[in-house]
Amino acid sequence: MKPDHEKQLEQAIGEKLRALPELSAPREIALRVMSTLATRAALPWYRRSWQTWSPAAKAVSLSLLLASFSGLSFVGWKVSEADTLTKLLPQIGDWLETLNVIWNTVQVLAGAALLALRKLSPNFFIVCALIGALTYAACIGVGTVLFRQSKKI
Amino acid sequence: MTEAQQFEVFMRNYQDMVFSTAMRLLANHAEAEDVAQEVFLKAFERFDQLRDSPTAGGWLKTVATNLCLNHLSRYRSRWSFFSELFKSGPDDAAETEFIGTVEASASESGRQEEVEQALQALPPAQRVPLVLFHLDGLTYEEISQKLGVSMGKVKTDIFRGRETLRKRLKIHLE
Repeated sequence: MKPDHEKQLEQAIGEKLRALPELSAPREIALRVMSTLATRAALPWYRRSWQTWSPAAKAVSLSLLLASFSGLSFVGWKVSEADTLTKLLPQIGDWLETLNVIWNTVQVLAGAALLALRKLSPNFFIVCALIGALTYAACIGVGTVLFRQSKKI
Repeated sequence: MTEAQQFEVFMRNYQDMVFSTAMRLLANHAEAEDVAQEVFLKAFERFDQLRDSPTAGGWLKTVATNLCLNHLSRYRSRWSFFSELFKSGPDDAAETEFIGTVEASASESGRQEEVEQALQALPPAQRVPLVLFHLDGLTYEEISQKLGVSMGKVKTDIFRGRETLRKRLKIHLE
């Protein structure tokens, strides 16, 4: 392709596109925006986005957040101290025992499932994989058809 | 005049520009309306700054463009990928349909309508960089950064888009 052709083409198409007038926006846009704003305005201040809160409310909420964070850090530090930890250890031991029982149950169930799977023939897994692949392909096909239809509309 | 009324006036001043920007990038009426709505909801949050700003139009256009590009990458990429995959060569049916529409419209609303329709009939891969180049004034490099594709692809897509428009609009070059 000759560079002259490209330059002329760029200029010609550019002129055509820049000469296009603006499209008329449908009335519904303004109506929808105003209606959404009215709905938002009807919400109590604390249910609106944080950016829209008054400076005082922002300052208070930020202070509370910082205080909570500091408090949690302080509690964490205190808990990590040996004396408190010694008192807490039996309690943690109880929790771990409950977890241990749950873990044992899960292990038994997993073992049973594994045993059942070993008894099944490999054909079963191949059929399962085929069904999975076909379902995926069907989803993609339906999605593509719907996408094309929506573009036509 | 209340703030809501002032915003309504502001919106009416810019809604055609915002809707046109979205429509030319998305080529879909319903999606362009959704994007325009989102742009103005964002604008309301900054209305104090935008109200008397001489750059309000530029801000709105940039936000509209970015929202359209986000929309295209988020909702369309996977389906358009498969649409392109199953497409074999040029879409003759679409081409015939397009020529029919242009012929009908030529007698009604003239050449600009033809250009508008030809632009919207382009595939997104050609239309989006073409609009960003000619209507938003971005450079090839800026477009490649915005779209996350190589500069070579941007140049090729823009060239193909221009060629398609030239054929469809029967533009003769010297």
